[in-house]
Amino acid sequence: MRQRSTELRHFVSIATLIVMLAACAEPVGNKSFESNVTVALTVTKNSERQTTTDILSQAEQKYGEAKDLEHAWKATRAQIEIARRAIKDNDEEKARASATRALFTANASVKQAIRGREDWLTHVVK
Amino acid sequence: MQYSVRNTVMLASLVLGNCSLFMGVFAEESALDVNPEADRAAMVAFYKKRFPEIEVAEHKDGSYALDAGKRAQWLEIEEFPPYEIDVDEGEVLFFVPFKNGKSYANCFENNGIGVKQNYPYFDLERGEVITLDYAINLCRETNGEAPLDYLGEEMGYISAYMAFTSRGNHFDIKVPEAGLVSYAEGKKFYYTRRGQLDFACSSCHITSAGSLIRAEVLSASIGHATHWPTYRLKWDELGGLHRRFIECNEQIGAEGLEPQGKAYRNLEYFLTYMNNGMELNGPGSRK
Repeated sequence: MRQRSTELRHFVSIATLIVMLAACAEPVGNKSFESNVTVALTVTKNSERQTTTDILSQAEQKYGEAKDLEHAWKATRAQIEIARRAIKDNDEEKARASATRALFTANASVKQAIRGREDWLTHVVK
Repeated sequence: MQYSVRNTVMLASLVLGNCSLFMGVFAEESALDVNPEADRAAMVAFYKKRFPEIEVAEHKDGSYALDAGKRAQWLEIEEFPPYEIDVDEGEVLFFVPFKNGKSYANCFENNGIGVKQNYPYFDLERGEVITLDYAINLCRETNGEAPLDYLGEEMGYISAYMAFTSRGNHFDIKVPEAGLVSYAEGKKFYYTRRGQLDFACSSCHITSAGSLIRAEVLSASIGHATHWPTYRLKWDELGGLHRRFIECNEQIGAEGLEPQGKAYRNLEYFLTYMNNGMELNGPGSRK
């Protein structure tokens, strides 16, 4: 009986947690959320087939694009630097992880810049 | 019957599709259809509604207009202002002649005394926005001197002295027709989300104005241009508005842009226009 009550309590806690997470989640129709997920999946899928140097050079290219759009993120630069250092130190795992993160944030920053071209008008005080 | 349902659905899709197309066109048009005075009036009205108990003119003190406790501490700091020595340094530097015998006074209207309320302005010949710091360097270059570092001490001193001589004046920024594009670019910057936090200037200073961000109160933009350069306790020195722009951008995870680059000058143009009519009280001190 006591064990059942503990199980029930666990069940209720997990259910509450799921409801809270669902409440905090972005709305289903949120384009930026969907596009971020798409970017993440694409980056992960592509990165499985590519070398670390390939991923890093793509990240650097996208970062350059974001910089030209005046929308670069600090995180991208930081991850690129970590990846470069890790490559020098022959730390493949760290280099790959950082290069992948850099590519993800670089893609997101470019998407943000493109979305912002029209999106800003919705925030203007009228 | 089936056909009529299908036709209705198709018609509805067409109408909706056209509507979204038209909305796109209207969005484009409203970006070009710039009316600075309407923008300023809307912003002032917004803050009046958000802070009904605070006079618009009081926003010149930034977040110290919104929090009595912080205001009391700030007024005590202002009794022995941390920027006082910087103003004195600036006065000396302002009158030091260049190698050609001229000085800053030769470059500005009224010999550079009490002129900050007219900056930034749109220079019709150069086709760009001229901020006061930018004008200081243009003056140096015209007279054969090397430009100063925009984030450096000397620029801060000279700018502080010029701000000090302009205290009590009121902003009177003009946007000629040729300057509308620069103004619109600045406005777009202000409302565009950036950085990993996906924040625009307006996210903090419009949407969340008056709220706390950690222990700090988010100030209203209609007082953002009044008190520069400012001695910030966290910088432990004087710094200009563009240094603050860089800091703001970095705080939201974006990379800061070039100080006195086109983007920040346009932003300052828009922001200062929003401050039109406000009293200048620079240099200031902030936490």
